Amino acid sequence: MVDESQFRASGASPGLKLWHWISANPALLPVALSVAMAIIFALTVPKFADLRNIMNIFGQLGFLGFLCIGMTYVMVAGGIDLSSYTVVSASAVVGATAMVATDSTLLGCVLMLAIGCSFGIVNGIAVAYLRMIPFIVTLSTMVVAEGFAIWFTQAQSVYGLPDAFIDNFSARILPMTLGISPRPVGIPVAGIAVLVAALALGFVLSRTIYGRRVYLTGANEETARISGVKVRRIEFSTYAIAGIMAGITAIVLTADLGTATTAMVRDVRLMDIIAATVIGGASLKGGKGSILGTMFGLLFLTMLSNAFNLLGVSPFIAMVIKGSVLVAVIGLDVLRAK
Amino acid sequence: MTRLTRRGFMATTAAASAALGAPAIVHAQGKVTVGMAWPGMQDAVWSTSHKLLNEFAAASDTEIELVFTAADMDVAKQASDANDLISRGVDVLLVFPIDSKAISSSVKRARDAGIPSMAFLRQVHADARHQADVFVGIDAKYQQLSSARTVFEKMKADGAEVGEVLWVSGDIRDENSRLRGVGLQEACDEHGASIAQDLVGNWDPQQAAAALAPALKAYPDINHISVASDVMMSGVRQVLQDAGRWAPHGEPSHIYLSSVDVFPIGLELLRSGHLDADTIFDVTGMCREAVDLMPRLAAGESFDSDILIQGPVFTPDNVDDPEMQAQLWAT
Amino acid sequence: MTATLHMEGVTKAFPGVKALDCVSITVQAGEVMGLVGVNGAGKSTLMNVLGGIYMPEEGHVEINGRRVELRRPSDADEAGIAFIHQELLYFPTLTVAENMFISRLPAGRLPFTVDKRAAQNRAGEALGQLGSAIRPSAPMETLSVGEKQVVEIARAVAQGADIVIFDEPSSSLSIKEKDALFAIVRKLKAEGKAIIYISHFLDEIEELCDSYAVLRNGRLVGSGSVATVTRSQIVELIVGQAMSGPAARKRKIGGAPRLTLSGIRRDGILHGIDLEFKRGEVLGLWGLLGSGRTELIRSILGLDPMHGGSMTFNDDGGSRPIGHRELLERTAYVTENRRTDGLFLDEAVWKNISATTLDQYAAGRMRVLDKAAEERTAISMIERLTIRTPSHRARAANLSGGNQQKVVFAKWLNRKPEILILDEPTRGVDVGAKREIGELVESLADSGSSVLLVTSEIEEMVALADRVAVIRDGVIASEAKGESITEADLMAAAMGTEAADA
Repeated sequence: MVDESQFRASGASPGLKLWHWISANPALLPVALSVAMAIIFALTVPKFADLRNIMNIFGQLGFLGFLCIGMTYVMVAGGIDLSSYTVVSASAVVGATAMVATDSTLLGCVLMLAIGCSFGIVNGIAVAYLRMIPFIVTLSTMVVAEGFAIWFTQAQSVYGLPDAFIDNFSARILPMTLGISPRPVGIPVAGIAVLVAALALGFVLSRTIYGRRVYLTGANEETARISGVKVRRIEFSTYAIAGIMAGITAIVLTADLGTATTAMVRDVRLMDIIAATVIGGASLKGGKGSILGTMFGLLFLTMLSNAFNLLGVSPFIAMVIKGSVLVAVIGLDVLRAK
Repeated sequence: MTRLTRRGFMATTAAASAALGAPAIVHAQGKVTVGMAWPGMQDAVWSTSHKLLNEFAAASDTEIELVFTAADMDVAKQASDANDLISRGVDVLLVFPIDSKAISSSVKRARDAGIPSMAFLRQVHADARHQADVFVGIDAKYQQLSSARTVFEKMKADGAEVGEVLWVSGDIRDENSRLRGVGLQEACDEHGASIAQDLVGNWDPQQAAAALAPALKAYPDINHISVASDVMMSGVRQVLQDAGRWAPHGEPSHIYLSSVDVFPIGLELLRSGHLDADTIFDVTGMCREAVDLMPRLAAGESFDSDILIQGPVFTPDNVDDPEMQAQLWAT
Repeated sequence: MTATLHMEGVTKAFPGVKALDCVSITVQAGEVMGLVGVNGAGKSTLMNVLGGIYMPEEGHVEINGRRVELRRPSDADEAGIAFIHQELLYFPTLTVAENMFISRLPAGRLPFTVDKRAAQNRAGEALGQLGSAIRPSAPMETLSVGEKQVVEIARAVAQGADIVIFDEPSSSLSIKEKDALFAIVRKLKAEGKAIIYISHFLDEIEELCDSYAVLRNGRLVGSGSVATVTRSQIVELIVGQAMSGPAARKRKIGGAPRLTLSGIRRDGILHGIDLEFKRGEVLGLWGLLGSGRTELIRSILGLDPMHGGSMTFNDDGGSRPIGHRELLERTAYVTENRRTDGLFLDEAVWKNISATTLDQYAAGRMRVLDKAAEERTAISMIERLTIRTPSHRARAANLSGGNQQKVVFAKWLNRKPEILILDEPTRGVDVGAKREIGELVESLADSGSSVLLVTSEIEEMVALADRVAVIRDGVIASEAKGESITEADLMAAAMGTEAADA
């Protein structure tokens, strides 16, 4: 019996085989993009490869990295979370207010995580159990979180945070004086934190039974359900994780800025978060993506805007390039599906 | 735009004047690179200041390179941009803060890297842990003071009675609005007048109108209204028209009006004679001052106090003078 | 208008294989030709040549003795060739008339407007010709599958097609709809159209077609008049070997029922169903489309609501009530439509196979999966069920229908299910795979599983089921056992006595 799929594969040219291999490992694209970009920038952009700038980029990953990790979980399970960036502000202002009032760093951090997680839980219940459309649900919570933050603070930034909090979380550790830099350069705590989170949550997503169930839920919810996956619980959990990630982002950003504001992360960065995740291999249809890919997608975007700032080229050209790369990556995804 | 007109209109606070009077020690050095951490380009003040800073930098005796970044009103992105500029090793960090407290951490990071910083238009919050090395801004108190003072002087020259003033203020939480109120109070003190009522307009013509209409009934004899910004002027006009008190200077029903900012509606009403004095929001002067300070800041000069720009007062008599027209930007 | 279609020496090669090897067929005007063959035998390639999608390396196509060049789909349109596909493509919210004339809607009086009335009149005419009473103004989504197909056919006719190709048209139709389809095909035939009818159902070929053509490995291995050939001869041509008779049933059916359903209700659909699943028994659930057969399965598994009734499970410890969740966990459910809820199409074959048994591979507190073990199991399943796939890492979407269905089975076999529910397990599957799946079902029952079989193929039901429950209008209408299961009885019971009398 002739099997069509057999001759399709057996007649494949080496180029086609390479294409298949690339298709099977979607994280390769962002890794390759980032490496190529890093080499080009290191050779052409002054100061790009300086230790200070490398640590600067590393630290910047901590700003959006957690949100990207959360978005990856949600998107792999077939959803989307538009609310995470305003949840950051809502969590931050409450936690910071408590911190200022009590001088307790611990209480403030716990509150930030709790508020972030509760928004995630609300999203999760609405999407997973009430079967509401993720786009609409998270769009609504996005507005709710923003409104809440403004109402809670009367649009005033919260300041006067405990020094211990700011010093611990925005610190640079292990100062180094490598190279010609006259002042020591440390490793940013935010970067280390996001790296640890990416490794841990990347491991969970790619290697554990829970992670596989997240992929299966996103790949085909109905098949997953019949196969015995508790899909609602899985969907719910991804939104909760995204909420906790927003809480962690609130801690990192509040410490770094020394204040909590109602607009710490704006809508334009939501685009960056989704772009990093999609460049990293995720699909809006679910079932695809990886933490490794997402982190390299984010690294790519961060290096791009960093290099443009170093060069003094208009940041608006960087926006044009980011948007074009995103469209190209989505185009590749469509090709890959064929 | 010439230096002559600027000097005629600009003054600084006493301490800063002293600094200005110090011997020029900096113009000898080489190229100065200034990193601009800007909120974006979408707002007229952002884009105008970007344009004017580049023009003045190009005309400067010192070679000045401006490296521009835009944060799209994103506080975290502005911190990232500032970090990028610090990594680049700029000589001066020029920040237009999106958030007056959050910017403090960028200022600190610049200082740790040995880079002096200048805050533009919005001051780093007084309670923040780290202040910029110098602040260039608008003297908001002087704006209302000079505008109201001009009107009081005109009223006295006209022989009108100087008594109570209605004050249409901006946002009660806004520092600019508060300072403008202080300025009005000082002008009143100078001329033996008093503020009859503080009407909160929230920088919004409708809200200004809603507050002003009943006040006008409560004080039928009022003959001077001072407005915190031209943005609320259309509301004020509406109320006065409804009350039959909308008349240009010279007519008996005229109410004297002082305002601030010189936006297009202000210019129009100055020319028609309805508005009597309007003090400009002097972006041009601020940009010129900022560019002048850049090489000095890079050379390590320190400044004891803020540089507050005092723009000229526009009146129906001088509104179309060429040198006044040269100051306009918000058109 | 009439047309005679002739394909002469058509050869088409893909890298590594000759998909068509010098195939010549002729369909006269007013003739229905049944085209049969297993999946991958070359039927689709032949049709794609006619559709202008593939250009053959050798050979050509003649219509009415004139050579035609079919370089693109629009060439086929112009040549009067129309396709009625297995999976219908339509705009659900548009009306029947709009769907029929989507590319050539009559213009209204104002520019860029559509003359809806003219479109509806023309659609009504075309539907009337086929003897159909479908309203042209009805939204497409409100139609049944069979009615949608009629619209598709009417569209082809309205566009002036003389050659109509049906690609497995009956596989998703109910019995009544199938009859209506046959009537339309006969009508087209009477009008002098040349018709190619592709189907896996040999009874349809026998009933409907004048001639037959069998493809195997890209070659035409037999053709001729249907009247001169027996069904088993055609099967031999298709599979290339003689078919063995139905296996004698010598299965031992355990005494106590494993699962007892009583009074299962779902508002408007199920009205109190009582059913027993026994160990080692294949229980057939026979009924027409819409009788409630799929709905019953989904309700007891908790996939759809259940408004009343109780479920009792009987294991070694005695009988006890069982909930939906536990039943779903103990059940292997081969769904009606593998593409929508049977497979993860974009995932690798091995991930599909391990999806139901992930717990077996998880270790440690982090529940880390042993991927190597998953792949090993998948490879052994692929061998056991002779799943034809380039690799266990191939995407499930790249497999043929029959092999996809075997992947679905592999996924469940891994779990050694106590209850196996099969909803149309051989739909769209070629004859060879169909037989393999049948053997698999029997061996599973032999090993003690309780099997519930739902199928529209009456022969399959008769061959496999130990006992058949007939469901009609949401209740169990009758039951038959062993030798008393006959095609005629089942058909009569499913359609109700009135139909049986008629």
